[in-house]
Amino acid sequence: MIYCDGGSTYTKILDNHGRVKVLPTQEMLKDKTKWFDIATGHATKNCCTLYVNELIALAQGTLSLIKDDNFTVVDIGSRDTKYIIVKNRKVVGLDWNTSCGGNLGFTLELLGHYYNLNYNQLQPNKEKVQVTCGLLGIEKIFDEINKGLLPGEGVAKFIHGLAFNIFQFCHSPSLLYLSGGLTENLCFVQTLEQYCEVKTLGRDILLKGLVEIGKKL
Amino acid sequence: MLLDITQLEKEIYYQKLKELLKEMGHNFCVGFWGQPDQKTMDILVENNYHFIDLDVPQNYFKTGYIPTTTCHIIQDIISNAFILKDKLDFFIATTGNDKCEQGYNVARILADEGFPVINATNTNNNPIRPCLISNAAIPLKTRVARIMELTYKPLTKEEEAYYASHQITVPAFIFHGVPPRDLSILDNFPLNTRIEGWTKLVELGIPGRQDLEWQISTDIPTVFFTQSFCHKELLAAYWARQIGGLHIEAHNTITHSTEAKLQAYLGLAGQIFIKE
Repeated sequence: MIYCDGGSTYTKILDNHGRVKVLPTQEMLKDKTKWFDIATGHATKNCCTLYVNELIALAQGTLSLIKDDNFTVVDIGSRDTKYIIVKNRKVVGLDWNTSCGGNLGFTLELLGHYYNLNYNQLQPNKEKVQVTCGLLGIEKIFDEINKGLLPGEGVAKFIHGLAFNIFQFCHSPSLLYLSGGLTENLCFVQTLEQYCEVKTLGRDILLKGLVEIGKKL
Repeated sequence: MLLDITQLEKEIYYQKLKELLKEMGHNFCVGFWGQPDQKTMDILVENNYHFIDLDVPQNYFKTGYIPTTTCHIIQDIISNAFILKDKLDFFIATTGNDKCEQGYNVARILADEGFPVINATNTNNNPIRPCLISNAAIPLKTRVARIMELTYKPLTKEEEAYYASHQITVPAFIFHGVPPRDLSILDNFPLNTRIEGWTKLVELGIPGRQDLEWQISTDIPTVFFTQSFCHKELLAAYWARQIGGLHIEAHNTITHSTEAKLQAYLGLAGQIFIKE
């Protein structure tokens, strides 16, 4: 079976040999012959045999990996953020934010390229800017940098604002499992750790969820 | 306002209402919002009036002074009133706890603009009908739409028997809230979804009993729906967090992400994931 998580910016494909390939979604979309057995993510809706809701894929993937009875997991994509709260192995809370909490990954990638920043070397900032979403927050960063703040410091403050928002969005847990591309952003992870313990799950949890769903077919 | 149920003895109000209908009835059609006082509606029915629910979106036409952060249903009422002004003999208003403060504001605005407004706000505290539709295993959209018609179109004997024979014994979900402006979201719910909140109160004929909106079943997965910018959002957000429910809100039409979130909740809530 071929599984696909087609995100807004990046697509993750798990092939028949168990290999995960990550490619820009635009590149995936160019291939008009593509077809996936099970897929999630809005980019894949019309090119798969079985389409799975992203939150359901996240829940299935996380529950297959984490054996705790109670936990919270958040998946931060380039366009949206979604979390699930599990108590006694039951999903008791979830949310999916594409507007006010959206565009986080996308904005960070944009800023990283623009200022040529390495997020694995960027130091977390103890100060934060209040940001409501990625796109609205970017204006504040430019404003701070225009006032003389170093770009790296400004972006780190922005990351702090995002991390704080994520923490609150997920109901302020003491331990947060983090999924998605931002697990590879050390500055973000370390900033989030100022608020709670963080365990990273990588960016293929939704694919793992699809595999779980595939097993039950 | 032409007439105000809150300012007169009830019997005097009904007498004046009958006189007004004789005096000013031309098109024999009224517009209303919320669920007005039932006897007012019954008198209109007896006098062969037709009804247009102004809460329901028609051809959209927005007046310039309505802030964009106004509940879309309120925007619709005002727009519909202006569009239908020449076709309706009266505008039957609900202005109290049975609707909301904005219902009162709309009534005042329309009255000031020269519309023939009758304040018939519903102060009834005791159920006038049994709860049949809210607890029937029938598509949710059909049920919500039917409940909204009850005020001028009671259930027939056949309908009563039909709903009674389809009662839910164990609900899978609860839909708590007001009828969405975009009813299409209701297509996502399974048949055995019980209706609670304001919509159920409308079925019972007690839309102003806010205390009953706070009676929540904590053990059944519940979707709390509110229109954006509605004061009921606070109740919905609070209870969703308290009992692991889902609060969804919508302003105009239902967005893809709202629908996807709802579908995920309906697919996941209540399931137990065994550790392998």
